[in-house]
Amino acid sequence: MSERGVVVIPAYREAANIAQVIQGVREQLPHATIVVVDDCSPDATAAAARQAGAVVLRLPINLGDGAARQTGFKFADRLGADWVVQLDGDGQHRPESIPALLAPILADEADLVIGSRFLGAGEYRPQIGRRIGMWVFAAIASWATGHTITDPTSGFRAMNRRAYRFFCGSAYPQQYPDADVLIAAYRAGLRLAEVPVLMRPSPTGQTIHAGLRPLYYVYKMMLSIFVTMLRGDKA
Amino acid sequence: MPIRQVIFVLAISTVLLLVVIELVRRRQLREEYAWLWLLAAVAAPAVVIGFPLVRKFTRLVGADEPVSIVFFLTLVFLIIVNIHYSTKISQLTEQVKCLAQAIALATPEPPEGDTSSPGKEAGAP
Repeated sequence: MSERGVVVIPAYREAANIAQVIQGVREQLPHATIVVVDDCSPDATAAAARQAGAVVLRLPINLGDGAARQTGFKFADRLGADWVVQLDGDGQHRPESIPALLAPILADEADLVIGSRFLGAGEYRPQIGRRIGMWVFAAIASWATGHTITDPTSGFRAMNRRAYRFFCGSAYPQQYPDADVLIAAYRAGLRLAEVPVLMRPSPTGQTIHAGLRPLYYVYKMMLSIFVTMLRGDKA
Repeated sequence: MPIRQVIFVLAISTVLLLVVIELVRRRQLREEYAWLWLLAAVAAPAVVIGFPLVRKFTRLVGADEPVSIVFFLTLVFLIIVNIHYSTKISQLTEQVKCLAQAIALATPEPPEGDTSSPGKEAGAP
């Protein structure tokens, strides 16, 4: 397996989980560069990540999940990495699935691979409201890309240089890079693929979707998808 | 229009004009944002002096009261100002994001115990 790659782990308040995630990734990819983008955590996330063997990029202000991931892509671009794998720092995404995620990239069958919770592996069961939302956005993403996309909110993805460099640009949103970036990537000419992956329920709970945020999320995603369809960004 | 009304509006506009110019002089307000308020300070007396024109415009658009037209146009002006600010804030947010990322990228912290420069291993075969 080609090891000229970077594993990007965005993390906020993950001091308790990050070391385990890094160790899990290291077992799968002994020579890849693991970079943890610490989104200005008040806890010891950065120290724990460095201790576990990761390079740490520390954002001086809290920017949000999308911007943290993008910082990792920019880092990969500086290193000239062939591929990037991104997974969450909370232990939700299981590193055992990385080889499956990376296979279509290394075989040059896809530019962007999405790890799906809903393609058979594992038994992820979100709450009903969230399930409906995920279904709606999966349907929209599938319609807009002509691919069957079952898990547009998955933060477990692999991409080649062409894809991550595209995401270094303004097409990548600061928050919630979900269905809209998949549509933007497809419209930019990138090849998408989805593979089954294993996920655990997030140990820190539903960090993103709480309070009024689901409403904001639906609004933001709908508008973002709509304007993405009006744009013509090229990779 | 009664002369007392004209004097009142002229006085308010003059104060507004002086305040805006003083803020620019003290560098508390940048020229690029001052023009909107200078425009407002000039537009208010223009409306008072040219009130017969406002009456004509009122008839033209089919409104009942010239005053409601003045209020309506003022509201439109303020909405445009706010949209302008929203675009500026969006632009600033993007710039702050890029700056914060650049700071993080300029100072990568290597893994503990690793004395080589971070990311070197990514270039290894």
